[in-house]
Amino acid sequence: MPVKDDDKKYNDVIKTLNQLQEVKAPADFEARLMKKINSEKYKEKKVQTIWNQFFIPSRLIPSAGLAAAAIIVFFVVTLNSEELEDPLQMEPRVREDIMEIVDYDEIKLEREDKKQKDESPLEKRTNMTESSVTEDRGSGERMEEEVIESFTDDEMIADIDSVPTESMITSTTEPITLPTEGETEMATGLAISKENLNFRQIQLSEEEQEVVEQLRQKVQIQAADSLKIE
Amino acid sequence: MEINLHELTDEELILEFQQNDTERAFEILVHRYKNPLTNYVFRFIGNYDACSDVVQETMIKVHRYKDSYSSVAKFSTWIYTIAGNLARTEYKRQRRRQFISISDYGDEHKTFDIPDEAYRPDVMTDSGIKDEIIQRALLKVKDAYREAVILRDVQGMSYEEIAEILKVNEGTVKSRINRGRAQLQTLLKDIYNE
Repeated sequence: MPVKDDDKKYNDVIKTLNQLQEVKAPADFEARLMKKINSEKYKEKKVQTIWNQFFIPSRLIPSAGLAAAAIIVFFVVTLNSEELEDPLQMEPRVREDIMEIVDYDEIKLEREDKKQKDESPLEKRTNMTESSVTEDRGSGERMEEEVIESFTDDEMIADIDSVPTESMITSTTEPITLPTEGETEMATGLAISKENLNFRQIQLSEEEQEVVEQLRQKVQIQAADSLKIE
Repeated sequence: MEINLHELTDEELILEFQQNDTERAFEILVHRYKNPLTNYVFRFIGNYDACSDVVQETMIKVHRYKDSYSSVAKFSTWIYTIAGNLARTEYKRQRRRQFISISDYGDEHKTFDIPDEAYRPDVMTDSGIKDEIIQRALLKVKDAYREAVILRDVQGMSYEEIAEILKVNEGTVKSRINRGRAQLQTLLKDIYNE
């Protein structure tokens, strides 16, 4: 048997350990033990009495009421509390229906497209100016050029600039529409008259007036002749 | 008919204590186990005062948790398991305390001679000195092996019972006992040469 072989192998050790003197418990072992056990029992009783005291009806009812009140207050406060957000910390609201146009050329292109389809109020205004120039052709070609120059591209853009920014930022579906004279009046609150249109008023001398009159007569004669020929 | 409690087995005594709360049955159990447990715990931790406290604590646990004992197991197995667990905890605490107290000296690389109050040759007989040497050798054996060797060669328990107390299988118990004995033989070779 392997166990018996091991026992033989370590026979000296086993004998030595068997011969060890037995260590005995101290004489007052039992007395100390019973003292400890009794003190433990006393502790348990004390803990039990405190626990029982906590649950006696005279204390339980007010404490239960207090607990219920605390729960109600907690829920009321929690439900009524609104989470206030700091407006300075808020992210700006993104409006999906608005497309930002950064490049002004885009606006011009749209305007030119519109021009091809139908005359815009701005073009009408330009035409009106041109016709007024032709009417006043007697005042000379220089004046006509000046008037036309007064509506150069820059001024047209300036005109567009005067349109409120919101209307420049258009939705993807709606093309840009320039405001009519009435609309501008409504928007700005000011009536646009001929006097306010930056016309240069030139005082012609008598000699120049005569020359202009002669030219006008010539033109009228030529027009009459051409009608007769027709 | 009055029962003579002294004639009852350990299992019958604890049953009596469980069912009828008979303090006398508990006292008889204490009387039966106080010395074997003291011997076992002392051989394991090597400090008599601490050993006495551990055995006291074991008895208090038996008293307090008497209902957790199941008659399926032997009473001796149950009480030795409790004592073994407490002894292991106490031994670890002692070692930790010793380590901390050495560290408190300051210089880490210095070595110190720690006075051992337990070993006093002036008050010991020759057999006492031999016992002391064996006890010191036992304390040098690895904890798991020492525990098994004490239960087998000092307490005289069966392999089966040791396996139940240590909660390992019998093969492991035998292996631990052999390794422990081998270590002891090496440590005690001077005694055997005499």
